[in-house]
Amino acid sequence: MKEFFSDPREEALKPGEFSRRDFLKLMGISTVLAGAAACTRRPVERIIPYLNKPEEVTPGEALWYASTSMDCHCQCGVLVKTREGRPIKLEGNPDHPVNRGGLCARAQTSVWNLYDPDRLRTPVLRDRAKGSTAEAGWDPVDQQIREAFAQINAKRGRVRLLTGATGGPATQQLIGEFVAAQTDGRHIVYEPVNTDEIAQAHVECFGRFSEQSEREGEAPAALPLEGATRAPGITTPRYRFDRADVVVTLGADFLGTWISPVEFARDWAAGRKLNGDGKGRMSRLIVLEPILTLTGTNADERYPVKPTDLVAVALALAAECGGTPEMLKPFALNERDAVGGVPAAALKRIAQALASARGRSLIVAGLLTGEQGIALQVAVNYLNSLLGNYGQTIDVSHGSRQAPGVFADLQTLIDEMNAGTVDALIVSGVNPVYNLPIATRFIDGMKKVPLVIQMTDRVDETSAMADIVLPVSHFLESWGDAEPQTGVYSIVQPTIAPLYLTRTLAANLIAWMNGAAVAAAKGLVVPPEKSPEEYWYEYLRATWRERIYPTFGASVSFEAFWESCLRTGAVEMRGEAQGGAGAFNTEALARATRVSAGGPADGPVGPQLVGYPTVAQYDGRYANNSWLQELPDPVTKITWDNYVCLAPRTAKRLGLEEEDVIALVPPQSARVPAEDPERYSEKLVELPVHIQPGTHEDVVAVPIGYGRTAAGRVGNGVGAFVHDLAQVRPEGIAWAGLPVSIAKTGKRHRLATTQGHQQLMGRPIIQETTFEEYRKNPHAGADDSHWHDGAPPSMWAKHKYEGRRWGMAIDLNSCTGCSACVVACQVENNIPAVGKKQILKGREMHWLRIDRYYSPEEENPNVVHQPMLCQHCEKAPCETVCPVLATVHDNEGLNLQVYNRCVGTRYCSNNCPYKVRRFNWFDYGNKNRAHYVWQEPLHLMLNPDVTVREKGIMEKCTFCIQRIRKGKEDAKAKGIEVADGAIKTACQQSCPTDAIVFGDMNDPESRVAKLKKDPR
Amino acid sequence: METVWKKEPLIHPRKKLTDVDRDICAPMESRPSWRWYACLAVAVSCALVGAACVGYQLHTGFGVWGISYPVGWAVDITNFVFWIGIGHAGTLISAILHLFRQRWRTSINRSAEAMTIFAVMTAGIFPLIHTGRPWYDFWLLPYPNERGLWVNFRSPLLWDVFAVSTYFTISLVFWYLGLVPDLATVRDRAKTKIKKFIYGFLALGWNGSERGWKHYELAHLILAGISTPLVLSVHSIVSFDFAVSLLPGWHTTIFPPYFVAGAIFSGFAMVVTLLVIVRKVFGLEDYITLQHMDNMNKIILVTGMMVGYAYGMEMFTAWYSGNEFERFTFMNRALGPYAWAYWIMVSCNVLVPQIFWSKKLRRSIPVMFVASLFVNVGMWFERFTIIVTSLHRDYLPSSWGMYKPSFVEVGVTIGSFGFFFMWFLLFCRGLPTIAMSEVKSTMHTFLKPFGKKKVKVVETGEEYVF
Amino acid sequence: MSSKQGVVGIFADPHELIDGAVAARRAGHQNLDAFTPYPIHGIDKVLGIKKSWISVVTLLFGLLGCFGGLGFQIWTSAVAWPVNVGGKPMLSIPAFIPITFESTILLGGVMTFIGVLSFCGLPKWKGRIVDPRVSADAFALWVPVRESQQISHVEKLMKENGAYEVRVVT
Repeated sequence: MKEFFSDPREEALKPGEFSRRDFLKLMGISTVLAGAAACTRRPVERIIPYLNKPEEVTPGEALWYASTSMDCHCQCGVLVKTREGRPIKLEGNPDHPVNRGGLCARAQTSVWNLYDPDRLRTPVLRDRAKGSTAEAGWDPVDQQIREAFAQINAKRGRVRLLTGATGGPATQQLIGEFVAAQTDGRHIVYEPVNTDEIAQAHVECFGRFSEQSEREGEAPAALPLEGATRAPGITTPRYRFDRADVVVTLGADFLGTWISPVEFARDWAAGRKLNGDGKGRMSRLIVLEPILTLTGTNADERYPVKPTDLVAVALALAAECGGTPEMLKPFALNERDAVGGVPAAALKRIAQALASARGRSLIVAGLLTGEQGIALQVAVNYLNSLLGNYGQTIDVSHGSRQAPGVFADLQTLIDEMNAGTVDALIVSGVNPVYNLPIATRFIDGMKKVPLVIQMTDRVDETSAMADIVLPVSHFLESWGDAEPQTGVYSIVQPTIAPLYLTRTLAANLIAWMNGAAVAAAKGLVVPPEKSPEEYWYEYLRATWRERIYPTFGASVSFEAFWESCLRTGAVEMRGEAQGGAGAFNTEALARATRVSAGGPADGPVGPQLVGYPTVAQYDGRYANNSWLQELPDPVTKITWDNYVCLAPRTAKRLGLEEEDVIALVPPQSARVPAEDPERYSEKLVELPVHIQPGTHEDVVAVPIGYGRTAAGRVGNGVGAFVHDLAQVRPEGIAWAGLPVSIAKTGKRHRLATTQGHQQLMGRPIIQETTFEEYRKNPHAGADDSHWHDGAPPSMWAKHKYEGRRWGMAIDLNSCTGCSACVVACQVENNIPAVGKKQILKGREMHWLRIDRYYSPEEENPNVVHQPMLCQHCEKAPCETVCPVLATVHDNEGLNLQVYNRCVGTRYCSNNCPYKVRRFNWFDYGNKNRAHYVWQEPLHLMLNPDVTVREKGIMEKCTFCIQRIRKGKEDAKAKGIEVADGAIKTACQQSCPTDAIVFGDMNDPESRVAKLKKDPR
Repeated sequence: METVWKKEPLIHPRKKLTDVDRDICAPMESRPSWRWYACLAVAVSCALVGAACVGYQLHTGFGVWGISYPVGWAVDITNFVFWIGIGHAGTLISAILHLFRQRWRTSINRSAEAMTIFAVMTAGIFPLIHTGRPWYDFWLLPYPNERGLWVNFRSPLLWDVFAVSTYFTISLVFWYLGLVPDLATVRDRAKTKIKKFIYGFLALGWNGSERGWKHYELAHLILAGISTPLVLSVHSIVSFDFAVSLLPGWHTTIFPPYFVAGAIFSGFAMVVTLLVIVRKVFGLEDYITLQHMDNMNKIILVTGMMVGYAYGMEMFTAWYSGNEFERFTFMNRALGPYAWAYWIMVSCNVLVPQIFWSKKLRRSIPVMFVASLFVNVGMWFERFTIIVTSLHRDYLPSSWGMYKPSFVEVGVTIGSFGFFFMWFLLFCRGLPTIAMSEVKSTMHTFLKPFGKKKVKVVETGEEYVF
Repeated sequence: MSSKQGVVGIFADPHELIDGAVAARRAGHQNLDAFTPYPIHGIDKVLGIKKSWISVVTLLFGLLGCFGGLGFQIWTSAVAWPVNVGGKPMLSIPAFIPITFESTILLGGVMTFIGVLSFCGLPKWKGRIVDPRVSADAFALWVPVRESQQISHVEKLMKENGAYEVRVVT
């Protein structure tokens, strides 16, 4: 029996007091409840405390490293944002001489490539006969390769190294040494999309002009190799769009994909900035092209010209501009109405414009490859030479090395391989089996090479034919250097330790050459136990000390110089253009006139194929990158597919509608015997039709870079493989102006476009005026007649914004539609890709999109681009209708979206006149939801400052509120006011043309406030 | 008082008071037929299909619906407005006709009110499930919480929350108050203990005391009085969802009367549909006579023409405004990709009711049944047209798009009908479908006024006044 | 039904009931009540039933709902946590009208219902009902009788006016 009915200790308590036991009970319950509350569906983030805190790393603070973007050919300078040791975002380096702050869509997504779940993680040994594979460690692989090379060298066998654009002085020199160390070694550089024609034409026109590096008596970047026609890419000049008042482009999409688009877009836009005073200068852009490119959409004047007519048009312009050689006579306009479909009056006007801007004009050409391409470049060189542009707008002394490739070298390699004389082929950074048309016989040749070593980031198409597949480090994991343009030396520095058992190309070469020997040759003292990567770092520093530090001529120590290089990312050692290109060799024109044989008469009749790289996929290397697959093409606005662009009139004539599937049949002559029946027999290329206004009537345009079979989980099977449609000519691989026939298939294939309607429907959404009108009245074109007293009437009193009031201005005059901002926003704000199926339903998640409208004329429309993001309306219609106050205004004028509070009625989206709100239809934040979102380890690149949104809630542009916070905190820490321009949104940062300006509208001195007052 | 009623009594004249009880309580006191079970099975299966779809949606995300941008609402809100509209007839019959002393309503008001309750319940599901995170729907209520967060009283959706919940509550109260005396009747007739207990509990101990009746009648009148502005306000507020937004095709001041007329229209059509079945199945032809149906068809004719007038005025306003967005929206409605929906709406809602000019057709059960189905379809498409065609092409042509429902939308819509009919079928078996006490009060064959006046015989069904 | 003693007369016709009630009143009986299947209009005067105060309940609570609803909206939107919503003023009265209206109706309506129940003393599951037939077709008149000698008189009075069954409750 109990002594007490109740606990005496409790009896002693006054009512309302807690006993210790009660307290413990309650504590226990609340702990359990708190634990239970934490067991919701939110993804669990593990928090790892820093036991031994690394120096420099402060949790929650971003660390920035300057580096160079090596995932794409431009080699722009980047700043890599790392958080807690993870690179999460790439931004253009404002101090880098190439891109000066902007960064294209492709480079922005490099972090995806770093964390790509389909990356190769260990070396793989393949048995080509059996097709079996086995993972291996580096040591046995190195051993095997060293032995193999020893054997090959012993019998004076041939070792061939095939790479894309490789890097700067140190890399080049190392490759040179590696090649020289073999008894018969050679290095072949071939980028699938390259400037070979430009370089060849310059050699033909001017002979081999001197390069700064050579002039200064340095060793050439790569050792001249036996049998090499010329050093790769070295004769492609640097084009200076900022200096040109008149730009004529014949097929070169210099704002989208041609050589160095970020640099060119920036330079070109700099020549077109207006500040609202009715003054200012605007360069003229005249575009003659077979397909509507991004550049064409920005043209002041544009004429569709079919590929085979481009040379004739160039020659006609040359004749009109005062070209005298006899050869040009047949091309003169004389009494003819039109050349290549361009009215004579227009050509005369263009010629006049060019003539009146001698030395301040620039003619560029692209798209055409092979002998037609060389001919076109020759004609264009002649025009530029005639107009005195060399030394002014064209700088031959600081050539571009951004898209190198020498077809002649490649052809030699292929011939050697087919002859069975190549003993070892090393392939690095390129995917020739996919990129090269079957007709090059590269695959056939490869089968005859006894040892194929491939360095790749994934098991791709080429890997299937290699013996040893080696995982290569991502550039964000490696040391390296780059020389995108002569005189621009750029550093690649690692921002994270390699995620997997990977090595760089350079480290591999060192490993196979006996690293210690290399180091010794350089005079480096390195302990023998250093890894190849460490040797490579020493080698890199040593090379820079030897080759760049002296020319820098600084009075600082090398260590200080090196540190400043790492900090700024690059050193620029180029001045003004050193004179012109020299005398034009008129004989070269013979090639141009020969190519357009028969004079400027109409070329071959019938459809002409044009294969072109797109802004998003370029040559197909980014196929496994969801962000890029889902980036709407700036012109067609189609995602996740390639297609056949047909002119509206052509489609009508053929009875084809959008999304009808047609088969493209190359002519018999273009086919090669079926040595690889699996890949190439009579197989046709089947693609859906996309009716593209602005395409020339006789042109059948196909984006290349699709139809990958071994890209990874995202990229496999996206689009159709079209590379075999190209023709292989002695001068190069011809991609444009090829005869092709079309057959209907009766099938349909849905294309996922992000834009529902292509025309403005006469609505005053984008207001336009001409430059002439603007000079008379800066307010011209801005129609506000429907407002009373300058503002729309309202029944409510306005809110006052004291202190700061954020605002953004986008200069539609500068916006080229390049879509870099779209991707920048995605990366910064953890915006998922949603896949083709959802895009078809219209469910893209882009917070920032670019609307592209055509004017009503279908065949050659005027095009406008309009970036569309949350306008942060002062009287936001979305806010009023939200029942739970999930979207409200803050006192700095931002339209906030409170994710936690949102229940997802979607009323705000309905009521948004801009339709910029995005709804989480599914749980995109779940890393296992779909292969195209954030599968492990892709979630590592998520920005920790931005919430990953749950399913069922609305999201939208926040003006990068996390950046605003950071800017304010930084200013507060320093005890200063936030300076104008200190806070940059992700889109603004990425914009190559500086079209986006963000700032405090209450500060009368801010750029955005000034732009707001701009009468435009 | 219309003379026509004298010729044709509302209730069959040979019926006695006990006959009323017997006839009306018969479904409750007999075993259901296999037909009823079959109907219930169909309804429950449909409701389960809907529930399964909702479960799938909750698990996977709202993306399983066909809705996207720019069409952020479609079948969900269409169904919501449709069912709310259906509900309106019940309140209208019981409240407004009550105020107007239309005694013919007594035979139909109970089932009409029940229809209101069930329709509002069905309607209420849609705003609840159409959100992205339905498990947080309670955030729409202004309840005190630890963060001091309140709700946005400026949002029409919040007005909806209040309007619909008020409407549901008041309708329920009104309906239940009317049921109490009848429940007492059922209780007193009950043979089994369980029935006695259940109905006794529901009847709240009603004893028919004249003092009770006094309060009861006044309360009934007051509730009718406040239900009348309520019913008008509810659909006005529902229309504010659209009218208060800035979308062309939504942002228009004629919506409140237009929606109310449409609601009455569709509600009466649904009442006709249901009663045609109920009076046949339960043999209540003597209580729900052709006269009742005739009267309802007249209302359908009138409201149908009001709706037709609204369609015309919308077009006219759009043209007269000179606003290019407004004009485009209406051109697009009539001629765009969803023109089929628009013309279904016009033909079902404006053309079909015109047959009711003929008295013969007005009194033909098959004709009115088919016509009422057409009206229901037409009114569903009216909401669909308003919501989808306005959204799918709004301001920026770049964001234009199309809407295609997925199987979930179809399933949920089917489910909503199943849910509604499930409740209605249960109601038909479990509660008196006709307000017995009210019917009885219309069955005075004569009255002897109080005092020493002469006995005065009054015609059947006529209003008795003291 | 009160526990006091009295006489219940069951009539088949409401008019006879009225006659019976009139007779009972004339004979000086007070606090009569009738139990009928449906309300008999005019009988309240005969039985001496006073006016119902339900309408006052409705009015008072309606007003409370009106001002309470409006006040609550103003308090939450403009006082407790004012938020800039769509550039509208914190105190946007026109936007508050719909909910003010709804809260008026809600409180008024619900309280009317509760008022009826409490005025009628409902729910009252335990009590007896006077006769099961009054919910069907019987019209019962209840005359409370204080002194038992009057019972037979009342009985007679009922029968004279047509009651087909008379019961004495003691």
